[in-house]
Amino acid sequence: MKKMKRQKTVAIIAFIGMLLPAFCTILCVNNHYRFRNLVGMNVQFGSFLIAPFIFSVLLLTLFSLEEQNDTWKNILTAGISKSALFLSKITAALTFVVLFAGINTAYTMAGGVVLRNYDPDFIRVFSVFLVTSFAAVAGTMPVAWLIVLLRRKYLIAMIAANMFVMFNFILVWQVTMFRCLELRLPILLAYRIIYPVSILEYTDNLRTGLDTLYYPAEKGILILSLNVIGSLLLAVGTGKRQEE
Amino acid sequence: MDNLVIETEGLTKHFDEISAVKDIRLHVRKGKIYGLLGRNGAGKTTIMKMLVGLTKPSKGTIRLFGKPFGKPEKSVLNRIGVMIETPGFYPNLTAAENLEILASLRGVIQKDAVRKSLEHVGLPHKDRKLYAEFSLGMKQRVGIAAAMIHDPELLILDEPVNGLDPIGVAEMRRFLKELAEECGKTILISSHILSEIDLIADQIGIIHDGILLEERNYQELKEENMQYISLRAEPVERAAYILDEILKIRKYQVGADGMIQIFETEKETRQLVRVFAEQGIFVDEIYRRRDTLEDYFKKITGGGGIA
Repeated sequence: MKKMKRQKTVAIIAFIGMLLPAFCTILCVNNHYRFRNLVGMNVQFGSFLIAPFIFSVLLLTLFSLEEQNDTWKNILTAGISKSALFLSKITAALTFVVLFAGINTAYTMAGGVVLRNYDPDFIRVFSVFLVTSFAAVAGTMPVAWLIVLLRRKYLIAMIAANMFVMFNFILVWQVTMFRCLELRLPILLAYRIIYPVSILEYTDNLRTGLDTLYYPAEKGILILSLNVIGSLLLAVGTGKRQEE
Repeated sequence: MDNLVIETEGLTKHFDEISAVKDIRLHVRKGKIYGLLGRNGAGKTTIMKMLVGLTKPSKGTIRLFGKPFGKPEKSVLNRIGVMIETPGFYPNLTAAENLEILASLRGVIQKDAVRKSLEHVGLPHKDRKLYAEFSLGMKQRVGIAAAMIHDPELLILDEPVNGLDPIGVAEMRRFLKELAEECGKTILISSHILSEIDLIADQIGIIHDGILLEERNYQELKEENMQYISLRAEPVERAAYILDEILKIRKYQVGADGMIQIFETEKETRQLVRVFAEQGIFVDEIYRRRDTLEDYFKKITGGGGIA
């Protein structure tokens, strides 16, 4: 984490991370939406757009920081294995996702005060954002392999990673359209299994949505776990091959 | 051979079809400074990278501290300080911040380790200047400080005086000699500045096109091969006969220009002139000469200068 000090990319990401939840909150306050609308909006835009974006950009920044400054050799000659190094970078990027979930919660709780049906349960809302962010990141995990594959081409890697995140978000956004419900893509399954978790206040309308979107949680978690493990193994394997 | 810190046998590295180094047999003794000499691209860095596990050898074995070195292990790497190629640090951090990261990676527990290593290389500890703003010489000093932060037994330094000013070079030389002589550290140093190696090395290895051409104790080498008596006398065949049969000198060579180099330097030049005169041969030129390391390097590699 110390390596990120005075990094412009981190400052920009932190700014974006705070801007979008703030924007959603202002939108809901101005339109007198319910509190659950604000949470739903921040789950969709925050957890499924900003969280994977933060994760992928920071992961790429962490890799390019070592690549561009030729610091790999310092770390490897200190006896740190390539796998451990890779996992520590994933952990660092995930830490920022947790921080973002906290910021998202803070904005939601602050904005929620003036909205109808406000439920001041900070822990519950934070859990919703945390679980949904982690699910979204798990669904986006192939981006880790993409980053390792393109780590020596920073600009191309940045474009590819962001396009992947954006494409995933569009799928989630349009999940009930374009036959997306028939697709078994990790990001869609991530959204479908967390949907019940993100509902704070049930209505008939939401129940209909739930029936349509529902995907068995156990099966979904298994597929997401396999997606994460597969992506990480592929990324570590690719990294090792590149060094040879 | 118990005092060998580095020992390699048949060390070879291929990059696709190209051989970077071939069949290297390196022997670095404890507490000594070993100078690895070679032109750019000769294979010095590749050897160093293999010694610290940054590159896998295609063939051959490495023994470090008397034990086989296969998979890089923390317990072995923590006994080695490394600076390979240009130092790599985070430009957004200060020298102290960079070293703190390394110290934590190395598991250094001494709180003043960063301060001490920076002071050793003549850099201030509480400097707010970022690494990106450092001059090449300062970056090189940070690299050496990083290599020493965990007080290793063996230092592997690739071109450590690159970019240093003359005062810095002299300081570095004194510092490395101190480390070897007073602290018993073993140092493997590569350089293309032969005058520097000349002043500090105990052993030298000359590498050319990936092959280790010579590995010698430097003092012995200087005494045996780099000092000689240069003599010109006509006819050369007769002069060679006198050296062989009358003076019983075995270690000499006749150059293409007709100059004879006599490596048994204990002979008096006056005595040589007298014996030649007694045999009816006049000596046209005779003088004692000491080759520089660069002359010797050129002779061994059969090529031009090192740079």
